[in-house]
Amino acid sequence: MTEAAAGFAAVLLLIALRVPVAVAMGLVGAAGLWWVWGPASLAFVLGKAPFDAIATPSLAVVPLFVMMGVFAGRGGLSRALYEAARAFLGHRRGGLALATVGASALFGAICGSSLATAATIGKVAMPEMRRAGYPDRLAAASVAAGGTLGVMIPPSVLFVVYGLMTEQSIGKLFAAGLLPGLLGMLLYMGAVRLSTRAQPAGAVAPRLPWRARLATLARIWQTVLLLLLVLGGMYAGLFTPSEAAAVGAAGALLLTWLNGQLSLPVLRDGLLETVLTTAMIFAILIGASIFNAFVDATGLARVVIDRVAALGADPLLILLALALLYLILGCLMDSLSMILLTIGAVFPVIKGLGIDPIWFGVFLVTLAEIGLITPPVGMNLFVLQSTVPGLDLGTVSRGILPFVLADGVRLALLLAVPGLATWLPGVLFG
Amino acid sequence: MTAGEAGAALAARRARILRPFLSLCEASALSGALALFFGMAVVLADVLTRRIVAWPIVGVNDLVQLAVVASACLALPLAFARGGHVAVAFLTDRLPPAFRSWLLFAVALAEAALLLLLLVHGWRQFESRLAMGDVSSTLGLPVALYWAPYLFGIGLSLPAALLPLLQAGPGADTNAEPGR
Repeated sequence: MTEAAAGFAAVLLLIALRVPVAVAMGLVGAAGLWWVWGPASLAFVLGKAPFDAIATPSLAVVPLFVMMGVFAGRGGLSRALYEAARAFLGHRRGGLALATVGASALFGAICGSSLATAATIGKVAMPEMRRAGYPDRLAAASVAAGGTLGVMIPPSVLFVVYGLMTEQSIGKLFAAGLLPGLLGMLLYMGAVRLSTRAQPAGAVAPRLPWRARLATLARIWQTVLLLLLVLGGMYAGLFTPSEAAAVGAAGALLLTWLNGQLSLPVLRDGLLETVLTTAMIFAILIGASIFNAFVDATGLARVVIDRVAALGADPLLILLALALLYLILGCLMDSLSMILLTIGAVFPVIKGLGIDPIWFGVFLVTLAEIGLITPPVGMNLFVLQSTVPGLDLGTVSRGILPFVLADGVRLALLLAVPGLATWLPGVLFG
Repeated sequence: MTAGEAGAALAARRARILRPFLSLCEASALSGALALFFGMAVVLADVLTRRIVAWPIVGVNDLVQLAVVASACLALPLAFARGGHVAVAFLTDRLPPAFRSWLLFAVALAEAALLLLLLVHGWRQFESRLAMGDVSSTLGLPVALYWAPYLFGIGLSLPAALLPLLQAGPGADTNAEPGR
């Protein structure tokens, strides 16, 4: 127990000293294993665990969904989505920010990454909102928060990784994320309305006639087709998640070509972006495989389960304590690392308490979403800062508060009404 | 020649020396991208042949596993060379530049230490699996095919992680990430 606590503290210290998260977990895990088990076992784990962690065919779903998102953005699908959302919502107070959230939710349905969603929608929406006089505080916050919907609305890389680490059905997790994702979209829209209530933001676009609005829907057929093919195919039992990801990636590439956007440099850059993102994720998987072997070696999970049982603590209290832990971690590190760092210790406790692992996956990803937008380490804020010129991180951080509150409401609703996450998988999978 | 000019000339010479290495990392990442493309094509072909002529491709899992390992591992060196791994800089950004550059040195050494451990122990594990004659489950592909991209990726990442050490010195930008 003491070794494990020291290990977690050492990882956080190294991360604070700018050591990459994957390396911090790997080094501390290696040192911890050496301490607990000795050099012979350490050599065995270092030789075997990292390779086994990444050499699994089911992980194909990660790079393929990343690729789908990358080419959906490069193929111009995000612009069509934004135009459609603007046609329906642009005439309302804060309309462009509402459209940004709506477009992010739709893009999230063909992209499994929140960073890709925020970067892609940000490139389209930020210039439009700035032109209409929206303050960066609201504009960037709506993009950053909207981007988090990318990991809740299926497909989602975080659900895939959680599913593989905990041996849960990825199809069920995707289904479980749909309603909370849509709820998140509505609550973010509420946050936009709240933000613009006292301080109206930017120009309001003229209300378009219904004919013009419906015309924009015709332009998002590509997204709808891709979405139906990938998610529809998966839930109709036509594809496994890996196959759906391959079909989605190929479909996004094909649409990029059909839209006349697929030049050789675009293909090269898109593929490089895909494999670099994959390498980043897999490096964290490698680090986590070593660190989790160390946590296993300390027997932490068993000790925590026994203590929780001895205390007779209410599962709700445990969940609230975990939520607090993840909210703090979310401020300090990225969501994938946060999940991989802790899941080895936390998941056995969750199972021991009899909490539905699918529901917990949604709960965890909701907490990860909050981590994506809370400073100082809100990854979506960083992505926006790197893609939008002249954006001040402090200004965005101030605008993000209503969206964090909206996430708090969603978290409370998930706790109060677990069916939000468990109903749809129950209907689809029995 | 002033000290500034000498520093700039040195930095330019260093960049010239490093360029072939960075090109190698990029070529490796592109090979990984091709592997992913291949994996995607195999899965698509399997879906189509299974649905249309009820004739699945034998050993899809073996081939996809190979593509996954290759795509991620061959891109690792470029991710290290570009400083592309997830790291938290908000605390260290406030430190004085001199201390920050020392910290970058230490981080590079930490990365290299882990990669060296992975390489050495990975190589031993690979040798023992090779000696046991391990092959893939369906197609019987030699285990070396799977371990080669892993060991190559880790091996090439080692010098890539050490780039900050090579890039340091007069004319170097202490704010810059390696390879960017």
